[in-house]
Amino acid sequence: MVGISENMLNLFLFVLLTSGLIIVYSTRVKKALNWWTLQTIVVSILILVQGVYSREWEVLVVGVLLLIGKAGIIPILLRRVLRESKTEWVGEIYLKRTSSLVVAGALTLLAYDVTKPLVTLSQPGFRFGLVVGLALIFYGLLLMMIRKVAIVQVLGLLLIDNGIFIAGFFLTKGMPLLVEMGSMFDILIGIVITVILSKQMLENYHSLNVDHMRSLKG
Amino acid sequence: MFSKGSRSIRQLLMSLSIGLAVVGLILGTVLTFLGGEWHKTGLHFFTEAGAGISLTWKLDGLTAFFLCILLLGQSFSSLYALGYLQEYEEKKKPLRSFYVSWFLFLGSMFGVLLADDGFTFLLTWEMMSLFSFFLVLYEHEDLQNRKAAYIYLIMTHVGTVFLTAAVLYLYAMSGSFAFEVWAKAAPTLTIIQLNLLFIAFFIGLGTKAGFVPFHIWLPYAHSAAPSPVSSLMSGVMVKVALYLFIRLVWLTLGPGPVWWGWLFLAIGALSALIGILYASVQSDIKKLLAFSTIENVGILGMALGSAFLARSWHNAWAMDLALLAFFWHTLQHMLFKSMLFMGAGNIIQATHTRNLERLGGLLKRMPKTGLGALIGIIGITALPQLGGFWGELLLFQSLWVNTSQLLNGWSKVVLPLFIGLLALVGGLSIATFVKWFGISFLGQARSLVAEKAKEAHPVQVITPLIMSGLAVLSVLWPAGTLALINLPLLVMRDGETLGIGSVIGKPIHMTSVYLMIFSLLLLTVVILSKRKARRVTPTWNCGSPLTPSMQYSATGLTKPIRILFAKVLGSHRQVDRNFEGTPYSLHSLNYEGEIKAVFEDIFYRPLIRGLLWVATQIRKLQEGNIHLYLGYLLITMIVVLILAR
Repeated sequence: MVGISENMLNLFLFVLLTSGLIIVYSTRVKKALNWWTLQTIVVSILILVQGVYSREWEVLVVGVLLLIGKAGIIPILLRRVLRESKTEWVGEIYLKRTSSLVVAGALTLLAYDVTKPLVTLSQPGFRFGLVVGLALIFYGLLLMMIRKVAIVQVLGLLLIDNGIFIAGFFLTKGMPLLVEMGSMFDILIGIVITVILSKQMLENYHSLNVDHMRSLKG
Repeated sequence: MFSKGSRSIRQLLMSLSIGLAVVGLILGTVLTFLGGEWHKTGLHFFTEAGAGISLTWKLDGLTAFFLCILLLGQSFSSLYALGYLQEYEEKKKPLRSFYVSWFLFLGSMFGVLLADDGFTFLLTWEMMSLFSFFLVLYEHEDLQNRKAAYIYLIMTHVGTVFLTAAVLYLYAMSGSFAFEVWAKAAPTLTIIQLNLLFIAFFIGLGTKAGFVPFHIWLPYAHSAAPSPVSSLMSGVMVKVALYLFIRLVWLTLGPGPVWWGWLFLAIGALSALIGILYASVQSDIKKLLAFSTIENVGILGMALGSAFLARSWHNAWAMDLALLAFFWHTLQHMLFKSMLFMGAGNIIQATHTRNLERLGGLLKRMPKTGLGALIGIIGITALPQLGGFWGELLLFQSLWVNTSQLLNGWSKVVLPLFIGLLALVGGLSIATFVKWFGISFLGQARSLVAEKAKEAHPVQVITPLIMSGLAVLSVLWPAGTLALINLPLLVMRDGETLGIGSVIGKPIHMTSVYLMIFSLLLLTVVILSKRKARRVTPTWNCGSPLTPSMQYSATGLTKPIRILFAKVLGSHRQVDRNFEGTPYSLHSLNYEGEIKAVFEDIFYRPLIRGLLWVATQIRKLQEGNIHLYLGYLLITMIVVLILAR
């Protein structure tokens, strides 16, 4: 990662982390979705910039695909479900927005702590990239745990995916194209299935509250 | 009536079953007389199972003995089934599932006996359990039978869990499934490992054999199955489990510590006592026989225990006696118990009831069934002359020889107690079978069905009689029986072979002694019966008419036992008397008696309660709440990351 300056990289990482925190903090689903879209756009810009600097066409292709697939198609699909289900609020359970922010902060510290052995990575920025990736994975899991609307669970999953993507990107200095595309296709299919399932849920329970799934217990 | 096709199928299949058994017996006899080293070293052969696995089989003297038991059981049960199954045909109950399970059950028993490695053993063992389960379930219209089969399935799988654990552990230790490799690896194992393996085998095999406290399935399953199956399960299948005790514990794990023998002896004595006590208070003719099977398995367990003890005390004499007792009794019990189950089957088909209280006076109506049953009873209660007596005598001797050769110590005090217990069991078994025979065959009919009973299909009558002929022959020609028993002894006493004759004297002379006693008895009876003219008069009954309700009831006959052993049996009774004015005139009387399944109360109920409690606790993890599951994910990830740091 020759091209990107340390400052610029830090800016990107700052945006990624902050957007993750805002997603955790937000109370409206639509707002969280918008912030996630922004985050994904930033991730794809990061990839594109890297591709331009290193003149690797493969990386460029990945960036473009990311922009179209994740930042384009997925938000549209999810917004449609939101409209149909008339869902507005994220449905806080267990933790309110402020306390969830505190927990998210603690998880960020944990992410720093567990990556300590990796300080020997060639560039310090890389380590922070890894930390941000890990923190995003934690946020995603946390979000899925403490919110009860199915769409927010999907958002949590997408957040995890972004986190994995960033962590992988910084660890391997760009994964092979095939792996990237595979993982992207994977998440796309996952989202399509979730959207279908959400519609089923809407038909059966007239809401996207996952607490209804308790009645499926054998 | 029933269709001709199903009849010919029945005749064809059962004749096939008999024919195969007879061919097997003839082949076995020829092979035995050809001699050679195979009795000791075994004939090996194997089947390719694909995927680089082959099932290995071995035929040696030990296997040959049990194969003989199995072949005899197969031929007689099939002969009996030939007649017994006719009833199902008349009821138009499809027999296909019976035939399939029957042949596969028999085949899997051959497999278990011949198996020479752990994998083959487990495979055939599971098949045996499964197909006997289907056979128990054959009369599935009855809720009781479904329940019995269910209990059987659960218990047998609990046993298999322990067996699988032991087999896999031995595989991990020795790197092979072959029994021979295990036998070589056994001396290198620590005593703790050996003990654990022994306990696993003991529970696993003991469940199938019906040792107390793993016996709870046996009375249900053996009485729920159709009678030919009962006779096969009781006569042969429990013996297969005992065979494995010898194969896997005696021959594979090696001599082992002394307490193994004590455990066999103690559990055997417990099984014998509990079995016969519960048998004596049953009023279901088949359940009574099933409990008596537990008793006899207990006696066999005692014989094994005595042999194990003698082996660790290096007492060759007592060991030979115990082993002789074991094999002798195995053979005899197979014959007698099968005969009795066949007799019970005949009674059930004739009267459609299994309740002793509704039977009575059957000897006049079914004399041939009665004769077969009587001979079976003489054998199973160990009355002198028939085989059961000699088996128990040998066991008494072995226990005594074991005791007398010991140095002073607590063993020398405890061991004779088992002799006393065995005597008690013998006495109780006579009481039990006096009840079984007396209530069902003697006296007057207690119900209409008993009064209208008719003799069963000729085949069903002849089979027990052939078997009693065989039982008599085994005693009259002990040299033949002992030659058969010598086969497993060759395998089990590694090294020198003491001629059996040296252990119990010259057996051949017994024949002449028997014949002399028998002819003397016959002569006395003939002379005494010729002396006076016979007078037939009605039984004197104080002038009032004789009614069936004046006889002993099945419950009443064993009341002393119920009262004497109330603590063990958990028996309790409630009598409601209704007097009409004065206490001298009884208007009505209501009797309610109950026998508790004590072992289910003290052993299984707490176990089940504990298991359910644990399951409920675990269930709390499994709330069906998606957030909780995601929380597990997060926590797992954090823990893993922290640990891997």
